[in-house]
Amino acid sequence: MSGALSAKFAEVLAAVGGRAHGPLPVDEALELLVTLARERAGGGAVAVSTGDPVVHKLGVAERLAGAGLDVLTPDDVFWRERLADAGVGITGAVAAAAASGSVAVACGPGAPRATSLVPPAHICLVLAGTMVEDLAEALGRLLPEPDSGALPSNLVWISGPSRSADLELVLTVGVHGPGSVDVIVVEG
Amino acid sequence: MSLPAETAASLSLADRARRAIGDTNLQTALAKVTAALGAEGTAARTDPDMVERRRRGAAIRREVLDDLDGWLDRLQAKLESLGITVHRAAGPDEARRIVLEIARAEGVKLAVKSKSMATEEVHLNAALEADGIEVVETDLGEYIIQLAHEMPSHIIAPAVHKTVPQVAQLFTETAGRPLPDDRTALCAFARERLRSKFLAAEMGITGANFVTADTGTIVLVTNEGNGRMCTSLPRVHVAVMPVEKVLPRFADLGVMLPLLTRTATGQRLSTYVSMITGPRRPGETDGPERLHVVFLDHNRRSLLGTPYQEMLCCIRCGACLNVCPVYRRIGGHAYDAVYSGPMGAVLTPLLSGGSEGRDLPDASSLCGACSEVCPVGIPLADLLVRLRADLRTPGPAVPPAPPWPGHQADPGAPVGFPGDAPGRPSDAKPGARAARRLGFGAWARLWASPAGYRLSAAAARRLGRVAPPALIRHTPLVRGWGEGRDIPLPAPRSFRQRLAARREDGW
Repeated sequence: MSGALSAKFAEVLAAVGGRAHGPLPVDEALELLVTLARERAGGGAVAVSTGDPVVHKLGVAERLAGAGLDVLTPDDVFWRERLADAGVGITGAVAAAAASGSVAVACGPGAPRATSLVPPAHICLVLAGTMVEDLAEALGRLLPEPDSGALPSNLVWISGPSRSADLELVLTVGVHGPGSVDVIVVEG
Repeated sequence: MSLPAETAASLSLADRARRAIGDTNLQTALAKVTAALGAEGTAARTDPDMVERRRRGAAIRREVLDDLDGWLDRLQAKLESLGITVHRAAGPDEARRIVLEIARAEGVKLAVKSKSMATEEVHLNAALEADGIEVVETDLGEYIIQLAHEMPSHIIAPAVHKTVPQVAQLFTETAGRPLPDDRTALCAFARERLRSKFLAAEMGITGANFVTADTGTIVLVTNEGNGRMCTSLPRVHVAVMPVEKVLPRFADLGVMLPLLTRTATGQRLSTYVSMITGPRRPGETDGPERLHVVFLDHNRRSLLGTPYQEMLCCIRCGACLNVCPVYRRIGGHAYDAVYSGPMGAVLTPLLSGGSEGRDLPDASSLCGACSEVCPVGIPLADLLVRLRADLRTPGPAVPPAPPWPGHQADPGAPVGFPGDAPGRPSDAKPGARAARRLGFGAWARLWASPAGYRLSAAAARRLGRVAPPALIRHTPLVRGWGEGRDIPLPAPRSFRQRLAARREDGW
């Protein structure tokens, strides 16, 4: 079941200009993350939402720093200024919807809204067990009881790279948000 | 070439339409956008999932309208419990005043805006700019028309009437350096220029696609990321919410969001769907410190309990624009209103209490395509016919809504819906109404008897054989009606004559 969902997710995400990887076991996923982060960062800093539960659980920041990358974390005094020059932002997701190729990125302490928005590239880590068929199902899981205490102050559903068709209706990618989106599906 | 707003207002609808039809750039752009988006909308409609979704979406919208004031009260309580300040604006004057007061209190010098039809409806930008606040539209299409000082020409693609060379010209003037006719370069310029605005702005202003009453969640649908920028970086966020945007439940978003995005552009979901539940929380690094929601009435509540209530179901998808044979030829500017196409033709006279857009319901062939395509089942064609009648009937057709408790009516907002306000260019010809009444009356009497019918049909056939078509087309009463229509000429023999002849042949 999870395999079919992941395959559908990958297909739909590719159709809107993003790239999906996996499902991969944790170690392989982290290795891939290092490779992708290095490529996308293009010499700039790698911004990491260390407060994100998935990112924290997988020990992403330590792994990247260990690989010699310039890691920027939200507790950095110059986070906001340095983020503007970062090459890639890394977050986790609380859910993924296969039908629309979407990941749901929540904000919180140590997980700013801007990580998946300001840098020109975004890499998102999502656990395969949190992937469902569509938005309706995902919303139901996120909020079994209507109690907004469970909802973060900002939850954004991201379906591929930023785009606009305002110029003569031809698609241009990477308008305000990231032009490059990679989603790594991690087993578990 | 497109019309600046001031020029458009001084021309009649017919003149604006003629200009639009003669504008080849516009015609190409309209053909492209309505074909592209229209095809997506049609595909979306026939998908089996969408059939069920449309039914459920229609039900949810009507559930809200059955008790709109109740839902608004519940929503306000929930928003306030999250630390959001809620304001109620009876009309445009009050809405402008509220946002201006917030801006002054916060010391705002620069505001960034995500695309919001509601803020255009109340002419918010002009009010802020008059107070010395710089307002920057950040949706690429809206940014383009802001620089060009124009109105949107399509609800989803507001700058569709602009060619790439025209945009290059605009951006070159703004940049102070030459920019090429290249989409990537132009987008890169916009990204860089607007990014500096996002980072410096004290206030972000948005509309709201939906707001859920059970969780107090504000939902914004964008593709570019500007909506996210406006609601993440500045220290204040103001969301202007037309009252009908409230949804009962967070779970309803699972039905409504794909319904909106698939019908509007064919996308399963727009690139970004932001769900905002309160301002920045302790320990967070970004997000607005203060969040305000402004409920905007502007004559919407006065439609409740009338047949026009249906119009409040609208989710602003633009599908009706894409299929309308009139919109597809004349484009948004010819309507000279914030909302165009069939939905604009209904909404503009209603929201303005009959003082604006009185001739817009006439800009319709009543083909009914809009009613068919509407994802929430608004009977747009019926509303257009009803408006045509109501706009010609003296006296208030729609009584004003009771003001919110503890609230005063906005003195600037039009009250009710007078049927006989002056200034209707299409009826400017003296005696036109009387002539029509006489003509149709005589015709009705003639055709009330079989003998009269046969006589007039025989006369028409004889005339058709003898007089050239050009002459018939220029006959006084026929002439106005014949402009823009093919006048079919009567066949030499009537159907009955042909049938009789066949029967004689033993058929």
